[in-house]
Amino acid sequence: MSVLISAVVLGLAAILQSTLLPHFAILGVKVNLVLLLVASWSIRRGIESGLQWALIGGVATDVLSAGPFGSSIVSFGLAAVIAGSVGPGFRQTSILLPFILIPLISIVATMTSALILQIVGHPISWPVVVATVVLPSAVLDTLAILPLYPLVSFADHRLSTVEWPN
Amino acid sequence: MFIRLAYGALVVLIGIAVIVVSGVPQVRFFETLLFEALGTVEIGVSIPLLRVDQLGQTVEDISQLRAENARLRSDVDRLSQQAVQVLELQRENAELRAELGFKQSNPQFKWTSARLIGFDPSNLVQAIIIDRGSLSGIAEGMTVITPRGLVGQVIQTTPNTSKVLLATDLSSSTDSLVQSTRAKGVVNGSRTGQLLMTYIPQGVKVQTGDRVVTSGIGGIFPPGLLVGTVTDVRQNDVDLFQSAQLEPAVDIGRLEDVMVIINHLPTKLK
Repeated sequence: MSVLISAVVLGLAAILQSTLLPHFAILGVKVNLVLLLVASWSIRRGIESGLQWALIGGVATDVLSAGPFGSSIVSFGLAAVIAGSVGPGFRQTSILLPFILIPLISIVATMTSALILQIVGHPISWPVVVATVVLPSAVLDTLAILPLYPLVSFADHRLSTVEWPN
Repeated sequence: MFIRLAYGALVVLIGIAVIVVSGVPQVRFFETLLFEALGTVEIGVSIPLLRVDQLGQTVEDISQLRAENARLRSDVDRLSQQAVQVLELQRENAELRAELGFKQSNPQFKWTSARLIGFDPSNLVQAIIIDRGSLSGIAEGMTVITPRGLVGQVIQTTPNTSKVLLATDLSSSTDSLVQSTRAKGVVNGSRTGQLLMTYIPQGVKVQTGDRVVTSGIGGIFPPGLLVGTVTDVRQNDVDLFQSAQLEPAVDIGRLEDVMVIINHLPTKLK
């Protein structure tokens, strides 16, 4: 998929995450749509393509966030590495793979973001953050991947038949 | 496989490098450009979303309005009698203020109104995005309020949008005082949505229902802005200080419009 199309998709996802998804937050936690797109694409296409999405999606998220600029690049990058390492090799053997990977990816990404916030000076109470953000995010993201991954999978399948110039 | 992991490590290192240099003016300029671009799109997206949200609310409101209308008619009679009493109380209030000899001058706020167009996409940071920026006279450090009380502080602006760090964010720290006893303390945000006031001196009585306002110390926020109301007090005789839990004055979940005070900047930026 061309870089431009990736940027449009991920930019729109970041905007939706900022405008629409907060209205559907549960216990103050909303779905991390950009992370799920990065992870799903990494499962489908592997590390290289996933890291490209992590870079673009991280920039789009950080531009709209009050957190440190670059923190989402790091957390999404790690998510792409995890998903891209395991996904392409095992997704053919188990259709449940995305639903097993996403909780782990969500936890790693959220903990990484919290760690970066702590490093730059934000006060982080780890027990509270784990209980109120990390674990609820993992549950919510796992539920959200149920309809999202098939869409990404469908898009990947259709695009595989048409080569877009990069 | 090794090359792929190295590629991954490279991206992570890029991200860390971006974090490290994020304070450099050139990087901030690039970030501001992208924020202006995405923020402008976000303004356009938020308009139809707000209207869809409002349509559902309107249908629900119609059925409630009929019952509320009957109730309000009886309230009108009661309130007419109270209006006479209010005038008497206003006169007495003015006399008491003059008798107390107000020392502190009340700042004459000038503000610009703004609409909330988005929230921070991260679940770890509590911030909002509004549809006014530097073209409307808004600058970093300015105080954001509603008629109910303090919302937060502007932390970044573009010509047409601004990011506001909420008072309920973990990193927010507001010098405040208990309005009735003038006991000073520091109010911090928390993940629970409540506020926590700490460093309240021992020996000062703080009780549930007390209003907490900004003290003006440090010049970050103007004094006298309502921060929250005490809901719980934690006091232990062996501790140096006592603490209190506050209900924020502003319900962020229902926030739609805010006011940015444009004739007050934090002291350090002047």
